[in-house]
Parts: sequence; structure tokens; C-alpha cells
Amino acid sequence: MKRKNIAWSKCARPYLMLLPTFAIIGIFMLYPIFNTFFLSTQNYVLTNLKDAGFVGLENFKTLLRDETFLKAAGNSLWWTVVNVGLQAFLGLIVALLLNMNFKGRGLFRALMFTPWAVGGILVALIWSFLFNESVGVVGDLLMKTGLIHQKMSWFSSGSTSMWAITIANTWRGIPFFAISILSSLQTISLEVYESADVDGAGAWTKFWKITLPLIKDTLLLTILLRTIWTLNVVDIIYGMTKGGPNFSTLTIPVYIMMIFNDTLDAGYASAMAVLMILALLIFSAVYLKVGKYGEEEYY
Amino acid sequence: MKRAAKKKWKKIFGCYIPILLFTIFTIFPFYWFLCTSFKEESSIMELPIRYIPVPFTLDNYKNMLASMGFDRYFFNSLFVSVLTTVIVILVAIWGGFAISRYKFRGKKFTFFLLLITQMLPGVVILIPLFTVFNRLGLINNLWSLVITNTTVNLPFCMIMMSGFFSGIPSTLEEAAQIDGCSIWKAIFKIVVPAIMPGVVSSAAFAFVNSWNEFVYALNFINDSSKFTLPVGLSMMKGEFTVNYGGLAAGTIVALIPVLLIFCYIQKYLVQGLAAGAVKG
Repeated sequence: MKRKNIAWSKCARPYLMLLPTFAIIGIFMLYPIFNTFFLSTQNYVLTNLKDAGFVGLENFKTLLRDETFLKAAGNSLWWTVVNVGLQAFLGLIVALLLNMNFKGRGLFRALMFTPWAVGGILVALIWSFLFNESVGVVGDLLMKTGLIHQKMSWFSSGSTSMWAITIANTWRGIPFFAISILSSLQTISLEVYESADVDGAGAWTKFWKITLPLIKDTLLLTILLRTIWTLNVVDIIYGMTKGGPNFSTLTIPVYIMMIFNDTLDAGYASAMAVLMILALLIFSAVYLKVGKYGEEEYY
Repeated sequence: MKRAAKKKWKKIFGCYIPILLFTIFTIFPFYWFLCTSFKEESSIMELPIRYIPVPFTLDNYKNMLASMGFDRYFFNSLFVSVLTTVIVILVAIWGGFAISRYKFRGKKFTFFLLLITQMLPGVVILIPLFTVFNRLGLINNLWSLVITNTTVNLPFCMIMMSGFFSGIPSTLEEAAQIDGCSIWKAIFKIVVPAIMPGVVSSAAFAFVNSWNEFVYALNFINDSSKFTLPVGLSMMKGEFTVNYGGLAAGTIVALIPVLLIFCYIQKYLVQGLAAGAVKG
């Protein structure tokens, strides 16, 4: 009898240890997600709950006629593609540089990773000031190098605002790519390169034929994670432009938050969130399939 | 001789100069806010721009500490971040240990679930969480932020921690159990000290993320006496006039804790990411 008890308690132990995790994630993450799907089919305005009830796909229909939403969807696409592309490219370069042998590597590595620790709203404050019209450093440097001839007001036009927030976000995003790619680069054994040297391969050939294939999976996964996180950025955009001017930097997450703040219409905002989840799911599935993630082996 | 010289130039142009450029791009924004925080209010908006803080002053820091509720924001942020970190670490130690040490039904599913949560946009759970906290009466209560930050950071910390647990042999806690320790005691007395780097980097990860969190804090808290630092600082940036000196000083003070932590743990973080990636 006693032995049975011990066996049972051993069997239950992992579940017991995971119980707090399941409780927290279940109540505060999984339930809210299901609730988002539920709310998206409801008329659910927090200030007017007596009219609450099932409306089917009404929220989605309104959404597809909402010009601001369509604009935000386009902006989100631009924002995500340009940001992730820039960060991946620059992050790869930084990782390759930091993987070289030179004096003070540890110090440079530490310095270059620091922006990752800076909160989005602080990034927004710092870069708003750098892009300031009258005393901004960016404008000043561009004038000194002769690239522009008079002060620019970055945040009064749509395209320059978009680039301003993109540069700020790239500044913070490069380190994440650099860290992941660097940790993957360091797993490549030097012998591979040495034998390529014997065969007389140049630096470019080595990069395209050895380095890139070997870090491909890391690169793919990092790009996927970063795509999701970039689309999800609220603090930098909200802190720098609040989606303006004239909604030209408004992305879907920012719009969700602003709609919810302004109207407390949980149903409508949830419908947007649902569309975003679905778009991300489809994108992730297609992306991993097309990128042949984890299917190739090299050794 | 010639070849050596060529190699040297190659190293300078292919390595040192790009590194230097990237470092300047990375560091300059920090320098600029530090510099601004030491300038007098009048010289901040003065042209031409001064790249060195002359005349030098500490007034911005004094004013910031004296007014604007800054000390309160700081304390609120500290409260939320410390509590979040402690809870995340305790829960992640149990969970990470279970995942790395035991074979059980649903293990794969659990791991998959943890990974999937990393891919969910945070703004998606904002609205339902708001309604939940509204019902629980936790709107305008810092505990709503502790709970949310714990939920958001737990999965990654657990994945990281389980990677570190897998890195040490299970004979360690088995020996302790033979000596008469209970498994729970063995974990905390023997195993956890052995993976201190993992604990420290998970803790730092949770702390930094909670310290920086903005969206939930903006939506769940309306009462200005309960603002956290990011929300408080963002409110200081008004629509038309901005006190950049005070803002810069506040930002620098808000940055200090995370930068210190980050410098300390960044080499562990690379390991931790690698461990998590290898496990997944």
C-alpha cells in the first residue's frame, strides 16, 4: 500500500511542479486568448453593457469598411517588412564583425548589445529628441554633411515620420539579431573553414557556401520571432508619433489600443486582434514551410 | 612584407572601422541624453547645438527628484519588477526542473505551449485581461501589472531554466536524496545553487522586461500616483512643450538599473538563448 503511494507521488510530481505554471498561463494567457475570439463576435462596449450580445461577424464587416483600419494594415506590412529586413541585415553584419578576432572584443560586444535593454518608451523619448526639428542631432549632422540644406520637420510628413520610427526601432532591434546569430556562429567549428582554405575558397564563397547554410535555421527562427514582435510594437510608435500625422504611422496594434482607449469597444478591438492572430498564424505556417526550417542537414 | 601590410589595411577597413561606426551609432543616443541631462534648460534649446555640456549643471536631477512624482514612479516600478521577478523565478524553477528531469505524459505539449506563447502578440490579451482585472477590482492596482508581467515572462524564463537544469547531471540531487533530503529541499539546496548563472539571467530577463513594460501599465493604471516609470516619463512629454532637461535626467535614472544588470548578465544571456534554442 505504501509502495503504491510512493509510486503515485513520483508519477504526479512533475504535474505538481508544473501546476503553478499551468494555473498562471491558463488563467491569464489562454483564457484571455479564447475570450478575444469570443468577444470579437459580440457587441461589447464597456460603457454600454446593457446592449451587449452576439452579433456574429458584424464587427468584422465593419472592420473591412473601416478606412483607418485598412490604412493601418498597409502601414503594419511596411513597418514589419522594412524593420525586420533592416535589422536582419545589420544584425548579421554586426554578428560577423563580433565573431572576428580583435582586441577589446568583449567590450565592443557589451556596448553593442546595450540598446536591447532599453525600454520602448525610453527609445521613443531619446529618438524623438534626436529627430527634434530645431535642436535635433540628426538634422544638424545632415546639414553639416551637406545632405540637406534646411531644417526638416521629421514628424510633420508621413514618410519621414515612418523612417524616423523605423530608425529608432532598428537601433533597438539590431542587438537581438546580433546575439542570436553570434551564438549560432560560435557553434561552427573552425575546421570547416580550414578545409575550405585548403581548397582555396575566398571569403565570399566561404560566407555563401558555409556560414549562411549553417546559420540558416537560427536566422529563419530569429526572423520569424522578430517579425511577430515587430508587428506587435506599440510603445515606440505610440511614444514617438501616436500613429500620426493623419494615421500615416498607425499600425494595427496601436489602433487596437487607441480604439479600446477611446471608445472602450472591446468587441470591435477584439475583432482586429483576431484578424491579426489569424494573419500571423498563416504567415508563420507558410514561412516555415517555404523556408524548409530544420529540414536540411549538412554534416 | 607587402602582404602583411595589405592584411593590416584589410583588417582596419574590414573590421575596425565598421565596428567603430556601429559602436558610435549604438552609443551616441545614450551619450546625447546624458549630455542633455547635464545642460542648463536654456542651453538645451540653443543654437548651434553644443555637443558638450557646458555650462555643466546638476539642476535637472535635483528638480526631477524634488518634483513631478518621479520618486513615486520609481518606487512603483521597483515594486512591480521585484515582485514579478521573485514569482517568475520560483515558478520557473519548479516548472523548468520538471521539464528537464521527468518523462511524463503531455511533456511535449507543455513545451510546445510554452514556445507558442512566445509568438503571441501582447496586445491580443490586453482587452480580455482588462475585463478580467476590471471584474477582480484590480484596475488601478499594481498587482494587475505584477500578474500580467509574470504571465508574459514566465514561459521564456522556464525554457531558459530547463536548459540550464539539463546541463547538470541528475546524480547531484539523487545523492542528496540518498542522504535524506526531500526532493523539494534537494532542488533548492543543491541544484539551484549549481545553476546560479541560469537563475540570475532568468531573473534579469524578467526584471528588465517588467521594468520596461509600457502598454499594460498605460491601460491598467489611470491613477497618476500609481504610474510606473515608463508611463510617468511618457506623460512628461507633453503635446507642445517638453522639459527636455528633466526628461533626460529621468530617462538616465530609469536606465541605470537595467544597464547595470544587462552588463552583468549579457554573457550568460547568450548562453541562455543558446540553451533555449538547443532544447527547442
